[in-house]
Amino acid sequence: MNNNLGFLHSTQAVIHEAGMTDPRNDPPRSSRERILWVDGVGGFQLVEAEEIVIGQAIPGSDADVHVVGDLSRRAVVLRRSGSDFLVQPLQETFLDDQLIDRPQLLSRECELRVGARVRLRFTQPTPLSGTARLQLSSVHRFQPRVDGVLLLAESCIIGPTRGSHIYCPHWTSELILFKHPGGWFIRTLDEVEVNGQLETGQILVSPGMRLRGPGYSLSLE
Amino acid sequence: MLQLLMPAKKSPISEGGPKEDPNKHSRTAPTIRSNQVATMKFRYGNGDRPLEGFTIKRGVGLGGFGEVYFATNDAGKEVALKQIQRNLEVEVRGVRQCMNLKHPNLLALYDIRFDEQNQGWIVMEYVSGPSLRDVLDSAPQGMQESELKRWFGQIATGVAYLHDHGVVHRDLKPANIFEDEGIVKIGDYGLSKFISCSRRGGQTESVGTFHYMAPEIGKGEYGKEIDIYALGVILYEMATGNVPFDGESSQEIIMKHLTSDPDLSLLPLELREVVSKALAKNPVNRFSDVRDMVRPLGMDIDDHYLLVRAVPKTNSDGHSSSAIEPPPFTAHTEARGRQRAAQTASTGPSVSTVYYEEPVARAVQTGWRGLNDWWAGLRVNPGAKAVLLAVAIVASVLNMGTILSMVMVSLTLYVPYFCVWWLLRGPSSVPPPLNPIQRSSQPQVSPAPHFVRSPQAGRRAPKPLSLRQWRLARRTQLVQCSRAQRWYEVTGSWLGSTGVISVFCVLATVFQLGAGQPAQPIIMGMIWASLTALLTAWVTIALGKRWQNEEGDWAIRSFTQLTSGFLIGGVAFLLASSLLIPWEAITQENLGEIRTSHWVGFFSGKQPLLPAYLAYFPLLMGAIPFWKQVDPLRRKRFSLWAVVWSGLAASVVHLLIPFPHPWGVIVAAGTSIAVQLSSPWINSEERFHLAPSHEVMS
Repeated sequence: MNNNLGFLHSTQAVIHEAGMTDPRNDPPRSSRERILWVDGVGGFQLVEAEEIVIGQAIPGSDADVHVVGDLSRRAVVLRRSGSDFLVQPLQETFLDDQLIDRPQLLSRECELRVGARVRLRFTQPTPLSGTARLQLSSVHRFQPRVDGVLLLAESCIIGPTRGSHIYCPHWTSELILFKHPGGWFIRTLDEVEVNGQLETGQILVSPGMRLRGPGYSLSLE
Repeated sequence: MLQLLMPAKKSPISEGGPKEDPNKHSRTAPTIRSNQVATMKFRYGNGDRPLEGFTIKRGVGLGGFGEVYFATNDAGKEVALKQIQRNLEVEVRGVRQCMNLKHPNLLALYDIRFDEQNQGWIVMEYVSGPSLRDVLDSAPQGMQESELKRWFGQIATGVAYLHDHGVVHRDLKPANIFEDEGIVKIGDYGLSKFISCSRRGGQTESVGTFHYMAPEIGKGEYGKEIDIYALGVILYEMATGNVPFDGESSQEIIMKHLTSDPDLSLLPLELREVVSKALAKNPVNRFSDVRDMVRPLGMDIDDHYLLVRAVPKTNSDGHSSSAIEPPPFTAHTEARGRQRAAQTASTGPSVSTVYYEEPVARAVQTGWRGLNDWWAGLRVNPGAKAVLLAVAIVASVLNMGTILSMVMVSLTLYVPYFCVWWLLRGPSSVPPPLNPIQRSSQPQVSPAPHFVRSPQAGRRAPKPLSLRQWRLARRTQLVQCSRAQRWYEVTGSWLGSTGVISVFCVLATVFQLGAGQPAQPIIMGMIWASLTALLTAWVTIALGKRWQNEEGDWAIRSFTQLTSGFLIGGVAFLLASSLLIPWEAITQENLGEIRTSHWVGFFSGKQPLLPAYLAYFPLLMGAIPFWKQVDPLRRKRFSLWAVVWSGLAASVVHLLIPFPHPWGVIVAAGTSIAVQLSSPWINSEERFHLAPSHEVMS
């Protein structure tokens, strides 16, 4: 009996272990990690979730945004509701140099310090959209190596004005990334080449797409 | 590429030259956009693997030598991949020579790899931070003192390391200097020569800015002094936000490098001496060591090439440090702002690109700009362009009614639409980026009744460049002209001269016939003269274009032309014998009655034989300095004196060799007319409009 139990137990343990190791073998959430690479401008991780966990970049981390720095696996949670963002500290966190110990509403432009050194700049560049941009203002980096993280609300502007979420100084026109029941779309006035096909108007965003417009190009990884 | 540290003299760059003026685009923010729009085309995108073992993430930028990508290797190492597009061997050699240089302030080079198409790739360190160009663009009033010292100290340390290892960078400029996690990195060493000197034909590029180029580069000298000069320019720009020598066009900038003094009054006191010495026109008068440039900033470079704080100087060494104690940097900012305001005010409104918020207006603007780019980039002869333009104008005049009604219809549709759009959306809740010009002109609005003119600016009288200075500066620029560009001009001139000669041939024939000359011999004669003049024109255009880079040596050129005269004489003889020119009928003997009989074997009757051709044409070519008529820097596009002189020279040669008159003169004068009318010309009057900007103030 004991033997049987032991066997059962060990079998369960094996199953349990297998269950534990599975997500670790898979780079966690990598399938959900979308990066928009804008040529000549930078790379931006796109995060669509309403609850965003920021944490240290270590194998097996289940955070949504990974920072290579001295912070916890789960350091801070950002919650989006419409175009408002709440920050919930899970470790020592400062909002604009004020230690916070309970959820706080983020202003359109503010700085979060997580732990002793990691500083993140939070910006909502335009009142037209709830989408926010996270950038590191300390000497740290995101993993994978991107220049910023976009916390997507309903739309996102990529263009030459300072109010764009992705500021592309040399562009002459802008692209709007927006959410639709059918998925994410890009709206453009230019005639653009998508994976070699000429298109204009509203273009369905798909992973691995490459888009070329007059004077610009970008890829979605 | 790399230049060993010797005052070596290299032959002037012969194949470089921007198609269009890159400087117009390289400085001010609005024009950077329009330039890069045309060029931001990357061949590879995310996920591509052009080089085994590396996956492209995104395009980073375009250099003069190729595209730069951010990529990772299979192990996840982040690298920058730089594609080498031309001059493969030489570039690879240069990069190899620099590959093992090791310094924190130099961008590390890892490897050179070749892909399946044998395309060369440089694998190098990836930096994620901004370039100094970006930093300067965001600080139009100049950088903070602490930032300036941090950047400049590290740049100088990297340059000191390069110089001490026998490498001259040659293309130091803010766009080549980056910051990565607080460390300044100098890039593009080892490729520099190709960035600054050669450009691929037909493509516009943002490289090749003349703002940082020492004056002696035009003469082909590439000592380490050119790096010192560039550092001086960079230091000036970091402190003031502006380069010391700026202009609307590259020739204006080059001219200022050659002739103007920088306006040091805009600089903090402690930098004036350093900048002034670094920007000395004569390389000999500049610093011989980069270390001497950082010492006045309170820093030093130690033996391990580390930037250290300088030990404060004691007064015992005779150099009183308190005497040059500078006022704080901020004290200058206000004065600088006012000076700049005055400059902008007097130079009038600057061209800047407006971005319409409203989509239809923006689409129209984009379309118009696209049309403009297409027209400017259309590589057709100017004549053909003129014809196209004329056709377009005629067509639009003919259809004026239709066009007007279409415009009216669009306006009636657009105006209500705009009103609705404006009401719904409002004129941009996000203010458009204020361009630096607008920003800097703000102090002008504030009441500043007493504009304090700096004593230096007051002393300088506005004086245009002398013709000699202008020619020198323009020559320097012609050197930059690419081979493709020159070939394009040569073919254009050939075509032009053909046209001119055909017109004159017809005109002269008609007049001769009108004067009652026998028809057939005259027509034959005119055809021969035209073809010979055409050949002469083509030869002289080719030679003249080749010589346009320098003022050059008279004797050698005359001799070369004389030699080419044998070819022309030979062809003229063949033409005459195949056309069966009736010399007897068309020769006029009323001028220079010299008997041909003592020229044994040269003439048979009045008909010239081969030796006569081979004697007459070389002498003719040797006597007339045709290259001066091809030179784009000649005083006037068309000089009647040059034609008269050419005809006269032909008559003088006729006195020696009695070639049938007036055919030699016709050939010489016809060539002169055709060559002058068809060769490109740069009006020297422009120098009166190119007054250096600080003079505008007084």
